[in-house]
Amino acid sequence: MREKLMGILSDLRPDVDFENEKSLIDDNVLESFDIIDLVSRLNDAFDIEISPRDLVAENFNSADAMEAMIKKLQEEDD
Amino acid sequence: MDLNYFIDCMVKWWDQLSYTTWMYFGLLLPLTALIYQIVPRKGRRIVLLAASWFFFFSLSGLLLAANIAAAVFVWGTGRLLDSISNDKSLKRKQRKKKKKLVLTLAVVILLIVIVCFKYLDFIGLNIVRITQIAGLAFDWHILGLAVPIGISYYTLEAIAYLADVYWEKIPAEKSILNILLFMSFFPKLVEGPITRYSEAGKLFAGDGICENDVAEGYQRILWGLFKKLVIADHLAPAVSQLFDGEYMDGGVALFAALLFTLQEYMDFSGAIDIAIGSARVFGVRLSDNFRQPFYAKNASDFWRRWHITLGTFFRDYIFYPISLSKPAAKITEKARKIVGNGVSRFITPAIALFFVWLSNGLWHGPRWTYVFYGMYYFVLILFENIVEEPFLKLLELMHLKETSVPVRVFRYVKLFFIIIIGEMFFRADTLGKGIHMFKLIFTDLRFDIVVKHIQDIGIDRYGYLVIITGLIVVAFVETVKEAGISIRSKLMSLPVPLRFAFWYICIFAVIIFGAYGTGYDAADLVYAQF
Repeated sequence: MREKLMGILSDLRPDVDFENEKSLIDDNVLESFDIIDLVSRLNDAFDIEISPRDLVAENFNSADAMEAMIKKLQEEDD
Repeated sequence: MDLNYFIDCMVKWWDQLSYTTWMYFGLLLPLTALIYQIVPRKGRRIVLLAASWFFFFSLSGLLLAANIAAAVFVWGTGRLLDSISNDKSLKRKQRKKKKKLVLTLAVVILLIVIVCFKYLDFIGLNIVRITQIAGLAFDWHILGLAVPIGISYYTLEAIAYLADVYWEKIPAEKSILNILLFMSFFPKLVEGPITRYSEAGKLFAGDGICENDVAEGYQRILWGLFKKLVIADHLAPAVSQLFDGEYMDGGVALFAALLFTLQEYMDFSGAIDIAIGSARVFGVRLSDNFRQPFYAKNASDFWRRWHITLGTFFRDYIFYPISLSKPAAKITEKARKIVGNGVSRFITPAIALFFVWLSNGLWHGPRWTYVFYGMYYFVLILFENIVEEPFLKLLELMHLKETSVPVRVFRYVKLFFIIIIGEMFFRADTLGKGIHMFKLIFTDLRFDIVVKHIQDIGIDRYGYLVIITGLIVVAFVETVKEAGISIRSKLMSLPVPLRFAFWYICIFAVIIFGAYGTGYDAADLVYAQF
C-alpha cells in the first residue's frame, strides 16, 4: 500500500518530499485543488470512498496519516 | 444633574454602541468581566449570555428573537441528527439518508430566513427588471426590512455546526444554553470571526478570568482600535468623496481603489482584533481572520490570508462537498473521455469553485457588485491554478527561481492590481459605476487632478501624516510577524518601565490621533453591514 501511495503522491506533486513532510496541510504545501485531485486518485486506487468528513488536516498532513486513513476506510467498508 | 437628561444621554450613547466606542471596551466589556468573575462558575455562561443578548438588543432590538429562535432550532436539529446516528434499529444507509434529509431541510430553513431578511427586495426588484424586459407588468413594494445584527455570521456558524454533527465530527450539544451562547457571543457577533463549534469549548467552561488573558486581550483591543480609529476612520471621508464625487478619471479611480483597500483592511482587521481581544478576556481564543494578506504570492494565497474563517467555511462546507459529490465526479469522468486527463482534472474544482465564489459574493449582500466581485475572484483563481504549472516551466526555461527578486516583484505588482481592482468593484455603488471606473483606468489615466486635489478630499496635511505613520507601523508589525517573530514576546522581555511606556504611548496615540467628531463616524464598521 505504501509504495502505491507514494507513487500517487509523487506523481501528483513531484516537487514535495512526502517521506519527510509532516505538515502538508498546515503549511499549505497541498492546496485544495491538490486535495481534490488526490482524493479522486486515492478513491480509484484503493477502492475507497473519501467523504467530506474525512477531509480534515489530520488525515492529510503526512503520508503516514493518509495511509492510516486509507486503512481505516478499507476496514469500514469490510 | 436632571435624571431625565442623564437617561437621555445614556440612551443616545447606547444608540451608538459599537466595538470602537468607549461604552463597549470601557463599560460593557469590563462590567461583564467583573460580574462574570464574581458569579460562581456554574452561572458564568448565563452572565455571558445576558451580556450578549443585551449587546444584541442594543443593536437590533426585538430582532434578538430571530437569533434565539435560530439557536433553539439549531439545538433541536443537532439533537435530532444525533438521535438518528444512534438509532441502531436503522441500517447504516437508512440512517445516512434520514440524516441527509434532516440536514438539507435545516439548511434550507436557515437560508430561507436569511433570504427573507436580507435578499427579498433584491429578488423582487430583479424580477421587476426581468418582467419589464419581457413586457410584463410586475410591481414590487420595497420592504426595507431591518436585519438582525450578525445574521450572516451566525447562520454560517449554525450550518457548520449542523454539518459537523451530520458527519459525526462532533457530538450534538446537549445544553441549549451552550448553543444560545455560541450563536450570540457578543465579541464575535457583529463581524466574526466565524467560529467553529469545536473551537468554542472554552466559552462554556466558566473558568475564572486570569490576569494574563486580560492583559493580552486589552493589548489586542488597543491594536484594533489603533488600526480602526487612527487609520481607517481618517481614510473613510476621502474614500466616500473619491467614490461618490462628481469628478472621475483613471487616476482618481486607482487612488480611490487603493484608499478603500487600505480602509477596509484596517477597519475589518481592526474590528477582528477587538473581537479576538474581547473574547480573550474570558480566556476564549477565537481564530485569526487575517495573516499578513499583502504578503501573499497570488490571489489564492491572498484568500488564505484574508477573511480566513469565511474562506475555510466555504472550503469545508461548499468546495469539498461539491467536489466529492457524485454529479461532479460523473461530469469529470465524461470530460476525461472527451478532453483527456490534463484539462479534466480542473473540471470538478472549477464547478465547486464557481459555487464557492457565487456564495462568497452573495454572502456579502444583495448587490450585483458583490456577485461580480465573487465571479472576478472565481475567474482569477481558476486561471491562476491552470497557468501555475506552465508558468513554473517558463521560469525554468528562463533560468529564474520562484524566489528570485524579478519573479517576486512581478507577482507582487500583479497581485496589488488584482486586489485593488477587486475592491474597487466591491465598493462601487453600482456595477455600472465599477465598470466605468475600470474603463477609465485604461482610457483616461492621468494623475494631475488627484495631485491637485489631494488635500480637498477630506484629509488634510495632518491627516496624511497620521495615516502614513500609522501605515508604516502596521507594515512594520506585519513584516516582523511574517518573518515568524513574536512581537509580544519581544515586548515582554523588555524591562517593566519600558513596557509600560510602550503601552501608554499606544493608548495616547489612539486618543490623540484617532479620528473623532464631525465627518467621522466611528460607529460604522465596514463589515458589520454584511
